Formats: sequence, C-alpha cells, structure tokens
Amino acid sequence: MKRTIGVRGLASAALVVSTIGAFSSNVLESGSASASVKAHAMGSTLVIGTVNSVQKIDPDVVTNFLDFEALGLIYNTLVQENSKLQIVPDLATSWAFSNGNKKLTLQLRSGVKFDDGSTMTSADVVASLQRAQAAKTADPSASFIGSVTNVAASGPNTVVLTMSHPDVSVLEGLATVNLAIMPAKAINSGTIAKTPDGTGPFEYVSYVPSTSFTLKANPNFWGGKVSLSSVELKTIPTEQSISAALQAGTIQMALLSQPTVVSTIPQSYTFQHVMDLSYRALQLQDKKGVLSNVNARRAIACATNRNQILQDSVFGDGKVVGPVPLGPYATNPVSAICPTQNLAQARKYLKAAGLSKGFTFTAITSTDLDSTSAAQAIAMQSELARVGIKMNIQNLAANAYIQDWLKGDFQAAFAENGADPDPYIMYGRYFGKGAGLAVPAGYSSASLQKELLAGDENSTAAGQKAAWQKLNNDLTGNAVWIWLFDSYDFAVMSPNVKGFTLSPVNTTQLSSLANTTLK
Amino acid sequence: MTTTSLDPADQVTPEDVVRHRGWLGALWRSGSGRAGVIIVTVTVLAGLAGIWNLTPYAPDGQDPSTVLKGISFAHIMGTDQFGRDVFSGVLQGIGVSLEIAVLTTLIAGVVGTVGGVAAGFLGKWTSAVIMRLTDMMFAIPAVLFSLAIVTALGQGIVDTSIAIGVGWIPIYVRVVRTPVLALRESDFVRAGRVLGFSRLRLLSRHILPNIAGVIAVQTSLTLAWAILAEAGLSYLGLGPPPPTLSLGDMVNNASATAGVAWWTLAGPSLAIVVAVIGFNFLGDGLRDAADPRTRTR
Amino acid sequence: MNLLQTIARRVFSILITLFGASVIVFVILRVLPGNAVTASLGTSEGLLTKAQVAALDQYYGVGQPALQQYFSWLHAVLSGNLGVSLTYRQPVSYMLGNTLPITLELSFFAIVLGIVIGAGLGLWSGLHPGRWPDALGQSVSVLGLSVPALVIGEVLVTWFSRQFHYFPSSANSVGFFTDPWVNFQQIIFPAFVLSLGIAAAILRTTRGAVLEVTNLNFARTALGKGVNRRSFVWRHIFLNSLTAVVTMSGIQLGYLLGGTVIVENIYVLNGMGRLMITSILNKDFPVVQSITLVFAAGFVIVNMLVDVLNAVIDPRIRKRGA
Repeated sequence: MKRTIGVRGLASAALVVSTIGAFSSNVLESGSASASVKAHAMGSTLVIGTVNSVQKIDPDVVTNFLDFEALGLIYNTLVQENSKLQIVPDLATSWAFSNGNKKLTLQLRSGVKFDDGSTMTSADVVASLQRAQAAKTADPSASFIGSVTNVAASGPNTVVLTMSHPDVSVLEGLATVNLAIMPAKAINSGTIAKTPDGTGPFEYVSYVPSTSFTLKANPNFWGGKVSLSSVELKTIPTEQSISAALQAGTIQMALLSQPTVVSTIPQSYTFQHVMDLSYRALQLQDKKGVLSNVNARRAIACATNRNQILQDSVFGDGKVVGPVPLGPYATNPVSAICPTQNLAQARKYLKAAGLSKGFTFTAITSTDLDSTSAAQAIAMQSELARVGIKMNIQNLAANAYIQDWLKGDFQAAFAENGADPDPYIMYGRYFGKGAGLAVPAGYSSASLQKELLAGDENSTAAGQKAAWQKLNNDLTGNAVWIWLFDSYDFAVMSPNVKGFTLSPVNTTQLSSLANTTLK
Repeated sequence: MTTTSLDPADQVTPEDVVRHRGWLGALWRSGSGRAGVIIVTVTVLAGLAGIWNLTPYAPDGQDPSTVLKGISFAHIMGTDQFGRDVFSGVLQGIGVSLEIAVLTTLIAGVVGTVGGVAAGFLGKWTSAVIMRLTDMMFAIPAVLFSLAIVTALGQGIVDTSIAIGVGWIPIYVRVVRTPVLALRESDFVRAGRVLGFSRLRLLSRHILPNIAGVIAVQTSLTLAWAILAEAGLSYLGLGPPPPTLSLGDMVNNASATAGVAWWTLAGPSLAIVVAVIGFNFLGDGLRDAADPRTRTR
Repeated sequence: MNLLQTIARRVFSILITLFGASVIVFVILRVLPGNAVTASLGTSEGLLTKAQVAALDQYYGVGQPALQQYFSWLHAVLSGNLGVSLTYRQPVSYMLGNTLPITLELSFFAIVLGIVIGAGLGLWSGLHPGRWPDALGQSVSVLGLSVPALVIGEVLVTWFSRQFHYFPSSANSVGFFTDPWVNFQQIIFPAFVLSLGIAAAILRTTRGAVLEVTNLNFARTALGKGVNRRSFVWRHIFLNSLTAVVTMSGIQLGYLLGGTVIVENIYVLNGMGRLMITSILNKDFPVVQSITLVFAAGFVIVNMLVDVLNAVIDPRIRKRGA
C-alpha cells in the first residue's frame, strides 16, 4: 500500500486515531482513570476483581449481592450480624424491646460523622427509615419493618420504633444495607440517590458502570483508622480473566464462585471461602395436582440424594442444608425425614400415597439465573427415577422463569433464595399470615403461621430455639419444599493482602477491608 | 435424448447432461473439494458416533482417579477435571454442534431461499420490500438477534439454532436473488413465459436447479459459520444447557483448566477447527465445481 | 442534478434503513417476556407491595402502550436526548460516551491489522501461486477463518498472565492521549485476535482478485513484453484488485462492529458489545435502542464509504487503462 493511496491512507488513519484518542481520553479522564492515578500516588490501593458490576448506588433499592457488598463499605446500619450471625451493635450501641415486644428503643452511637462532615443524630435515622418505608422508594426490604407504624426520635441519640404487633424480627431486619442510615439533609435534597454519603469505613469516589466502583478511606471512621487508602471494585467479565488478572498483578483480590477456576490458581496465593447467605431448594406448588399429596412429596424428599446433587452441581463446594442454612437456629438435622437418601422409606411413602408405581411431574430451571440449576435437576432426576418418580425438566430464560415463579405457574421450581439467620425473616414472607410471596410459596397451613409468630414474638433464646425447631420439623416433615444445599463464595488474594476475612453476610462481606493492609 | 414434447425448455441437450453429471467429478478433482469431502465425512461420522453413543467411554462418566491426566493410550485426548475422557466428550460435542449447525442452515436456507427467489422472481414491489427488509436486518448486529431470541425462547438445541439462523437469512436472500434475477431474463425462461408456462413450473424446472450450486456453496459456508457462532453463544452462557454438551460448552469449561491442562482446551478446539476447515473447503470445492472454467477440463 | 438525485436517494434509503432497524429491534424487545422491573429485581419483585410496584412501573415506563413508548423514544432521540439507562440510572449518552470510543478504537486497529496482514499476504501469495508464499497465505487464511476468536483470546491471556504476569488490559483503561504506550498495549492483543478473522477473509479476496487480474490479457501481454514487474504490479494489479479488497473490508467492518463482544469480555474492555449484551439481558430498552441506532448507522456509513471509495479508485484506473 504505497504511493498516493498509502500516504493519504496513513494521514486519514492518523486523523481518525487522534480523534478517537481525544474523545476517549476526555471521557475516561473524568471517570475512574484519574481517580485511580491519584490513589496510586497517595497510598495503597486494593483492587478487587468481580464478574458482576455494581448496578445501583442508592442503598434503598439494591438487590444484587455485589451492590450490597459495595454499598456496605460506604454505609452502616443500626445493627449488624457478625461472622457467627449473631446480632451486634453497629450505629446503635444498645437496644431494648418493651410493651410486649411492640416497641423497640435504640440508643445511637455518638460522634459518628457522615462523609459530608455532619454528625449523625436520631433525625437522620428517622429520615432514613421513613424513606425506606415510602412506597415511592420501592425498597425490597421494606417488609422487614413492615410492622413498624411509627419511627420517632426521642432525644438526639435515641430512636423509638412502634410496631403494630409483637415483632422481634424487626431487630434482625434492620441489619440490611437496604435500611442504611443516611443524612436527612441529603435525603431531603434528593442527592442521596446519585451521591452516596454514609458513615462507613470508605467514602464514595466514582462509579463507571460496568467498569469500576472506586472508594477512598474515610478519615473520620468511627470504627478506627482504615489502613488502605483506597479500594476499587473492578468489573472483569469472566472468572478466567479475573484469575489471569490476579496472576498478572493488576488486581490483588478476586471474588470467585466457580470452583474450577479457583482450583487452577497457584497455591502461593491466599484462599478463603465462606458459605453465603443463600440456599438452593426445589420449591413445590403443594396446593394442586399430585404434589398436594403430602406422602408423594415425602417420597421425593426421601429419594433425593442431596450429597450427589451437591457433588454434581458445585463439585462438593458447599454443604447440604435444611430450611435455615446458617446461624444460631440452623436446621440440624437437615430434615426431619430422611436427612440422607433412603429409597426404602421413599417407596413406603409412595405406597402410603397410593402411588406405588410412581408418578410424573415437571420442574423448571433457569440456567440464566443459576448456572448450576440444570445440573442439580439432572442429578435429582436420575435419583428419583430409581423409585419410579419421573421428573421432567424444563429450562427457561430468566424473565420467563421469574414470571412463572411469581405467578406460581409451576409444579416444581429449582430456586436459589436469600437466607438469613432469623427464620422469621426467611419464611414469614412465604408462609406467614398475609405473606407477600404466598403464591410462589405454594403452601400454607395454620400451624406454620402459628410457629412463625411464636418465634417472632418470643425474645428469649430458649423460646426462640424451641419455636424454630418446631418450624423446621413442620417444613421438612411435610416436605413443603425439598431443601438442597448452600454453596461457597471464594476470595483469592495475593499474599501481601493481610487482615482480610470474608464474611457470610452480604452487607458486610467485605467489611474487614477496614482492617486490611497491603504490604 | 430428445422428448416428444415441443417445449423448447424440455429439450435436454447433451450439454445439460454433462453439466449436471460433471459437478461431482469436478468437486473431487478440485484440491480443496477433495479435502473438504474427506474432512466433512470424517466429521459427520464422528458426530454420528457421538449421537449414537459409540464412544470409548461415557462422555459424562466421572472418574475421580483419572483427574486431569494428559494424553495417553487409554485417553487419546486426556481427561478433564472430573476424570471424564475428553475424546468421548468431543465426539458427543461434534454431534451436538453438527445438529445445531444443520438446523441453523435449514432455517436460514429455507427462509432465505424463499425470500431470495421471491425477491428475484416476483414483481418489482415485492422485490423492493424484501430487499429493504433485508437491508434493515443486515444493519442490526447479529448478536442482538441471537440474544433476543435466546432470551425469548430459552436455551436448547432448537432455540439456539433459530437464534443463529435468523441472522443468516438476509445473506441467503442476497446470494439467491442475484442469480434468480439473471435467470429470469434468460432465454429459456422468457420463452417459457411467452409459451404460457406456469410460474411454478418455471421455478421448479429451470430456476431452482440452476441456483442449486449457489445454495450448496452458501450452505457449506453457513455450516462452518454456525459451528463458530454456536461456540461463541455457549461461551456467553447462552448455548444449550446441560446435559447437552456442545463443542462451545466444552471450550468454555476448558478455558478454566487450560492453564494447567492444555489438552482440555486443545481437544474441542481442534474439533471445531477441523470441522470449520472441512466445511469451508467443501464450499470452495463446490464453488470450483460450479464454475464452468474448471469443469470442462 | 443527477448527482443530487443520487445523493438524495441514498440519504433517504439510509434513513429508512435506520428507522426500520429501530422498529424491528423495538418490536423484538417488546415481544420478549418480562420487563425492566422484573429483569432488575428478579424474584425479589415478589417482596414489593402493590404500591411499590406501581411506583417502579411508572419510573420504568412499563405499562404505557407500545406505540406511545416508541414515539416518545423517537421524539426524544430526534431532540438529542437518548434517555436514561434503566439498569444503572445513568444517562445513556454518558454510557455510550464511555463505551463507544473503546469499541471504535478496537475495531479500527482490528481492521487496520486485518487489512495489512490480509492484503499484504494475499497480494504476495497471489503473485506466487503454487509456491511457498501461497501455501503460507492459504494456511493463515484457513486458520484465521476456523479458529474461534475466543480460543485464541483465552490462550493468549492465560499464557501471558501465567508465564509473564502480563495482562495490561485488566488494569484501568487508559485513553490514547493519556498514555499512548499503555493504551496501545491494552488494545493490541484484542485487536490482533479480532484481526485474524478479518485478515483471513481479506486475504482470500485479495488473492483471488490478484489471480484474476494477473490472468487477464493485458497483464499477460505486458509482463510478457518485459515491463518492469514491480511497478506494474503496484500500478495495475494491485489497484485493480483494490475495489474487491475495499468491498470485503467494508463487509468485515460492518460485521465487526457487532462482533466485538467476546473479545471485550476476555480482554476486559468496557466496549459497546458488552454493554449491548448486558442491556438486552436486563431489558434496558433505552440503551439497546440507542446501541442499535449506533451500530446500524455505523454499518450504513461504512457501506457508503465503501461505495464512495470504490468510485474514487475505479475511474483513475480506467484512465491509465488497459
């Protein structure tokens, strides 16, 4: 390509490149590039690679796991859950129920500063909770404080919640970043949705959708000095590329979920895993068809080999669980009937159901939403076949699955649902009185409702334990659903990252970054 | 070989006979054609072996004792992280990928050919409308079509085929329309029209046989491309879900272990490359065979 | 007057194509089950009360009749407002501003590399048919067409990151002017991976065109007469083959604009291909519609450029003549 065409071609090529370059540098300068350059100059930056991107930066509307984790670094809540899933003080230092568990009084920590410099008072707490309760906000966790009819300040450091009925689960419910505490001023001026302003260990710097979410240390953090000068959550679309970036040194921490990728990273890196707060289960619609027969369902429960499903779908990286996977009230044994596969018992139940030859039903999965759901289904299908139960599998696209799920338009559905140490929060929404998710739940009974209320109204440890035991037995004994397993989340980091511990709670999964140092 | 009919279009000349008989020979004579036929035959046989479960090991037979073992006599393509034989998986994968490729090509080919023939043969307005539609479809990125369809229909062999096939319809329309336009103005078609023959007869006896060559070439190329497109879709997680394992799925899974076990990626990649090369060569050979210059030797 | 008519016709047909493409995409998206609310909340949508859902529906514009939605979008676009992304709640123009330059730069380098490799090798192999340059050209062409971009990409990334601890594009994207060297390193690998497919197609076209031209009478005669081979090659063979090459390059660029997704995923480039995929899955209509417009416009512009370029090239050759 020489002569006339060549020279002209090169000239125009140069012109095009410079235009692109100017354009891109202009746009990117204002984005994260400059921020990270500054951070490098100042001190130590920890870059974390994740497959997903932060999607929303208003804590009251987030639903994705990563959004919880990211905003949990900027915001605090009134109470939190520690790694043992016990409730511990966060922005509230102490609390007390009164008036028959219909009133909750919280004492606030003093001297806490927001990122904008103002000091937190009870007015901010009231404004934050009221914002979450407003219908316009569409806060998915509003139902956790659904029984709260009034939020009021009683002095500059005291807040009082009044409930319409005895409800101790409200305390646990306050631990989500969906109920984060924000400055009343920012709420009223409407800036809080665009510019995060919280009390947490890190402050918001910048956000480039699908690329990065950058934070810097909060110099006035009430929890102590933060060693890292900044943190960047970098979006890297495939786990293989995250692994490559970790090994190339461009990121120092990788949040992964695929065990195969984790296993190919050299052993010189540091590995951590936790069971996350979620569970896999085969939800059943128990009100119609063959599955309305409780013994048919029990047969399914007994024919299922949960360990095999765990092996086949996540290669054993997790644990078989019951209705409550983690926390002080975790289900143990995982099922009141057949905690492990018992084909003889399954056949007995089939006989009791009058279905000795077995029966057929259809289960829906969505590999879009949970890439392992099809593998779970296949594993279960072959086990059930051994006692003559035929399970047909239908794989749906995400939106189709969600629609069917919400309308209860399925016989069985492989689901991945969020968990909580408090069983009322977990199942009140499915089986409680006036439950919002009663339709997908597909089952209701007076005894379940009673058990849920009993646990919710009772605030003594012994009382709670007894109540939740009853709930577990009821749920698994009647094979309301088939609970399967909970899988691990992985964090792999370079050896120079010290002081980091992965936590199972989504809002605080990364909060130990406040104490992390980079050597 | 003359007939008693007076229809000039019905006179089969010796030249015609040579033309229709000669292409197979020409195909074999052309270097790429020969290579293409051989490779495609091997690939199809491999795929059939996969579909009929004639593999040395069960493709998803996990064996913890032979995890990530390299190439050996027992496992000619090594094993993956579950101890599954890669070669058996590849055979099954070829079968699935071929199924998808064939379905894709059928969808694109049938719809596209009908559209192309209509655009070339029917009236001016029909032609204009079809070509406009084709232009619009060209302007939309094929990925968008595929994604949208997968999101709407879900994932599965048929759904994936539709998702990829839709993007190829405009190409068939364009490729078919040109010769049909030319043929419409040819002597024997004009003569046939004057004599009052039905459009259907003209189509089936004169137009279709003559565009068969072009369609054959395009089909071969589409088959090659469909295999690659399916690999891409599976990589994005939008291909057929388990237990169906296509070559694209295998490459996707293997990219995690490729760093420590290169054979897990090499096996399915090689299968893709060979299949695509084979169909491309076949397409080239068909093109050579249809070209009068190479045939009359 | 004839030129004006031709231009007017061309512009009109472009507008129809763009309009039609946007309608097709609009219809496809509407037909898909679910809406932006479901896509963004998933099953958590069940946790919302009716009042909350109503508020969200209003925010996301769900429930308005389809025709009204389309025309309000069209109206907004024509007045320069591309809307707000439903997933990220950021202006669409901001998101396009972030992603379009990256995709453009990637496509540009890919096509340049593709042309250089493809036309260069194609010319070389076409001039020496049957000998080893031809064999090399053919092999590159075959491999470039058959090895999937994702395999090459994954192999390069894995190898370089494990062995050399080198993965420049996983660090923060740097603009071309901020640091040209780093920017180049970030772009060159994905561009190279993409260029192979393009190079393969261009190689074949170039080789074929060169062979055809070389076999034409005027070329045979001139070469037989002993004309200086080198200048002859450049002035006649190459320029005559150029139209075919340019056309093929145009076709490849058109496909390329939509085909950068995989490479952007592996090489961590925040480009429009990736944005398109996530937006479709999230049913983020404003973003998808805008991206479609951009791609369609790009495709149409490239086609036009190809036609213009060919028209420019051709008459000059004819003047020098056979």
